[in-house]
Amino acid sequence: MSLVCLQFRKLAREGQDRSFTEKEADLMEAHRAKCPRCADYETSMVGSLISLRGSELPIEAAEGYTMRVAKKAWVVCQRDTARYWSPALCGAAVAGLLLIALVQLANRGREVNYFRPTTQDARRYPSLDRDPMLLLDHRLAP
Amino acid sequence: MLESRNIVFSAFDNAAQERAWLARCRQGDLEAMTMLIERHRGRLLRTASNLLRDRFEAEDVTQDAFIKGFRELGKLRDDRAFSGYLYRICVRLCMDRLRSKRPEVIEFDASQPSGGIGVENKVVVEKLLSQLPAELRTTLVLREMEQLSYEEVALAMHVPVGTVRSRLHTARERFRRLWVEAVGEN
Repeated sequence: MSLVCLQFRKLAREGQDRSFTEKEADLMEAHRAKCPRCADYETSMVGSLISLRGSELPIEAAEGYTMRVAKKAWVVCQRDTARYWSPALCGAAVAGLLLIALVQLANRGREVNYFRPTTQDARRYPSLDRDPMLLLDHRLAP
Repeated sequence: MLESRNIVFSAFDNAAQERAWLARCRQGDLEAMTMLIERHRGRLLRTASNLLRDRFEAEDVTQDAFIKGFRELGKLRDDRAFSGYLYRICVRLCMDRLRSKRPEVIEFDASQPSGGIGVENKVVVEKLLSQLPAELRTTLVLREMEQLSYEEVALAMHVPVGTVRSRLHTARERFRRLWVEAVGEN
């Protein structure tokens, strides 16, 4: 491939974006007559792009497309706002507080009725499977 | 003279109307969203179907583009740029879809009639485009089918103009070779 062929092909590609100057057009015309391979190259370049441009697909949206998309977008946007989540957040906060209160009550249940004597004179056993008795009882035993 | 003045006023009205719709959209107005979708869906659907060559996939991508666009409306600094902003989102989503697909290797039968402007041509072009990488395909389609300028393609694809130029050169050359192979010419 000669330098002129390279120049011709470069111009053939550039010709898709701009029009040729008079000098360029003369050069193209002269080379086209001389070199059938470059003429074919130009034809295929133009032909392929015409084929591409002519292959647009029809663009009819499905029925109800706009409304469907708008509703979906609206829902997604609403979900992003704090106003949408605020009732749920309040509910979750109340439920959390209730749960903490319940856990506290469950842990402290044993302690509520637990009698702690201030002296060692008498002590009551907290478990129910034994009868309450005084530690001093052994003194009374026979 | 009067007609051109009317066109200018109408464009001004459209822009003002769009800004009003955008303001309402930010407050979560469904009707304003519908109006904006109605106005822009044609262009986005056309671009997406040219890029993806599938009507249903194009509808999906366009829907995603609208949702993403409305969701990130806060990022839009200038309301006048809404159209371009939506377009860029749509092109990027299409490119993501194209990247996730593997390029098809298709063998053509040179004896098959093709190359005409019709259904056959659309099928051939679809097959040829599927063999190009996502970047080259997008550049070629935006420039040749959407008739965007180099600067507009660069903006839509978020690349420098020089990159668009070189990609377009490669894409045209590859597409030409594939086309010659497909239609059985030399």
